[in-house]
Order: sequence, then C-alpha cells, then structure tokens
Amino acid sequence: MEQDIQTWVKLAAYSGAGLSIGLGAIGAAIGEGYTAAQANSAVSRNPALAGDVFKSMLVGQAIAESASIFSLVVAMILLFSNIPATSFITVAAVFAAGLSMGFGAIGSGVGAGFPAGAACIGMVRQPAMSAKLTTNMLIGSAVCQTPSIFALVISFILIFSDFGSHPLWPTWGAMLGAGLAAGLSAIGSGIGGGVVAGASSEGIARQPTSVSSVTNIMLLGQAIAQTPAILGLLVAFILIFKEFGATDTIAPAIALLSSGLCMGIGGIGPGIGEGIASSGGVKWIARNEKEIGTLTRTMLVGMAVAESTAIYSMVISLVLIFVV
Amino acid sequence: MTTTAPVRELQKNYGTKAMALAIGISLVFLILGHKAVCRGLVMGALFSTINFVLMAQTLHLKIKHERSRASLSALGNILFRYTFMAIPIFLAIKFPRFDLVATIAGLFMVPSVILADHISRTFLFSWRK
Repeated sequence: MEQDIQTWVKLAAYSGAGLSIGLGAIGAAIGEGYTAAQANSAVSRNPALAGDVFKSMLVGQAIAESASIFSLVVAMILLFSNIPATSFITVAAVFAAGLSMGFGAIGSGVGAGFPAGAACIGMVRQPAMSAKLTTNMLIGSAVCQTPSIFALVISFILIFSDFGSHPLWPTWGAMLGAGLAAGLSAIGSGIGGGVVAGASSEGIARQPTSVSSVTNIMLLGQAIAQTPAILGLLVAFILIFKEFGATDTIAPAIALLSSGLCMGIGGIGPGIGEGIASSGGVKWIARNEKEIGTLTRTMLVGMAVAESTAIYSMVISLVLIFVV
Repeated sequence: MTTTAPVRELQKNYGTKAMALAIGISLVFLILGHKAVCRGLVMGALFSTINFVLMAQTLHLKIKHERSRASLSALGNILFRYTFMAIPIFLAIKFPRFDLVATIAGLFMVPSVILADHISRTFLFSWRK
C-alpha cells in the first residue's frame, strides 16, 4: 500500500511539473514577444535610438521572465524532491501545486510585456524621459509579478505541508480547489496590472510633466486590480487550512473542487476589467492632469463595479465551502 | 550592429552588480556559519548573470535569419536557457551543500539589481540632479 501511494505521488508530481512549466512558459513568452514587437516598432520610428530601445527591451524581458522562473523552480522541486507520501491527499496536493504555479504565471508574464513594450515606444517619443520611463516600466512590471508570487506561495504550501492527518474524502477536492483558485485568479490580475502599467508608460511619454501623478495612480490601479488574486489566495488558504470532516460520498469533495474553480475562473474577468478601467484613468490623467480628482473618482467607481463579479464568485465559493 | 556596445555595457554593469551583491550577502552568511546558504546564493547569482548575458548575446542570431529559422532559433534559445537555469535548482535539490532557498533567491539576483538600481537612481539619488 505504501508503495502504491509513493507511485501515485510520483505520477502526480511529474504531471504537476509538466503543467507548471508548460503553462508557466506561455505568459512569459507572449510578454517577451510583445515587448520585442514594440521595440521593433520603436526602432523603425527612430533608428538612432536603437541602442537605448534594445537595452530597455532586454531589461523589460528579464523582469517579464520572473514568473516563468517561478514555474521552473516549482517544476524542478516536483521532479527531483523527495516528497514524503504520507497519504493519497499528497497526490492531489502536488498535482494542485503544479496547476497553481502553471496558471498563476500566465497573467504576470503577459502583463509584464505591456509596460516594457510601451516604454520602448515612449522612449523614441520622449528620449529625455528614458530613465523615468524605464523606472516606471520596472515598477509596473514588478507589481505585475505579485499574483504569480501568490500562486508560488500556495504551491509551496501544497508541496511542503503534511496532510497525512486529514481525511482523504473530501480533502483531495479541497487541495485541487486551492491550486485552481490561486492559479486561475492570478491570470486576470496579472494581465490587468500590466494593462495599467502599459498605459502609465504611454502617458508619461505623452506628457512628461505628469510622471508623479501617473505613477501614483498606476500603483493605485494595480493594487485594486490585484484584488481578485487576493480573493483567490484567501479561498485557497481556507481550502488548505480548514479541517473538513470525513465523508463517504463524492459530493463534498466536488463542492470543494468547484469552490476553487468558481473563485479561480470568476477572478479572471474582473482582474482584466479593472486593469482596463484603471488604464483609462491613467491615460487621461496624463493628458488632463488638472482633472485628476474627477478622473480618479470615475476610475475607482468603474473598478469597484468591475470588481463586483469577483465578489459574487467569492460568495458562491464560500457557500460551497461552508454551506454545501 | 549599433546596439552591441550599449548592451554589452548594460550586461557588464548589471552582471557585476549582481555578483558583487551576491558575494557581499554570502560573506555575511559565511561569517554567521551558514555555508550552504553562501554557496547556494553565489551559484544562483552566477547562473542568473549568465542567463542575462545569453539573452542578449544570442539575439542577433535570430535577427539575421529568415522568419522560420528565426522562430526556431528563438525557441531553441528559450529551451536552452530554461534548461540552463534548471541546473542550479537540480544541484540544490540533490546536494545539501547548496541551500535551495538561497539558490532560488540567487536566480532572481539580476532582476532584483535592475529594479533596485533604477528605483534608487530615481527616488534616492534624484537630489543630485
């Protein structure tokens, strides 16, 4: 029996590792490709600045790659670590760890490409602002990585915690649900944060005097766009750390799995939507800084409304955990 | 290519800073008696720096080829770099001489230095201008 668990844990770890780096590479590759495409556009507009654009592209790509390195780390740990197989729950936990990190890296990789691309274009438009544009781009890209860090945290908890004392039914559903909640919800927030940061770099290039207002509003917008990922993290924590009573039926396990799916999928749209709402605010504040108060208010109200669907998802998620 | 000199300068700048920072932090851990942390951090930072150099040094190979060959070259480059970055993690998992957490931290040394460098220049040393 002990051998059986070990074999299944290995199978789950190998599949989880494949999913982690396979899915995780998608976002970084898209983000890096987008940056390179924008860099080409920038160089064609002003070939004399090719060196600066090239440097900016490289730096932006180095940051955009971080999320996929997280995926690589999780994949390597799953492949080569000696994961203690105390129960069949470990099988679900290690597979969920791969799912969490794989999905969680997609949004951050894609998102980080937007500010890097916008900075390359902005640099040829406003060469004097190169340093400030690069800093803005780097801050924006770094904040984009936060949702993937949430996914990494959940992956590590799933890999390194001992769930041996928990009942197999329904805990396996909770483990898979936790991975899906943290991973999928990070997609929207990563992309949304990137859309805001891209608009910020573009705004600074159009109106260099607005740099401090635009950077502040970008950070505010990115912070709010992270909310669906935070809700996903919260649901994942509840699923991992709440002790569920043993059952003989499949329904409670599926309810817990659905709870994670509900929060994960439900967080994708709001994250992107909030990013779009915030990018509008940032873009127009750069062009009309005098109306910063009205524009910020409109942006925040728009983001709050876009956020509501993530809250509905969380409510249903909590109902599935605590009521069903 | 007009881009080669500034990019090489950039790589030298960030590569040197990343390695210097890693060695500096490692010395502190060495003094405190955590040799595995010291080894892991230096190894991670070394691979992070080489990865950053490889990112740029192989770019011209993609640009010179026609589209299909350039795509294949880019894919090969990514596969190579990811395999390369997996080596220190593999070593840290298999050999307790290297601390895993420190190795992972070391792999993020170049992005951390890039970020810290720009933020410090913008916010901390802006009074010099």
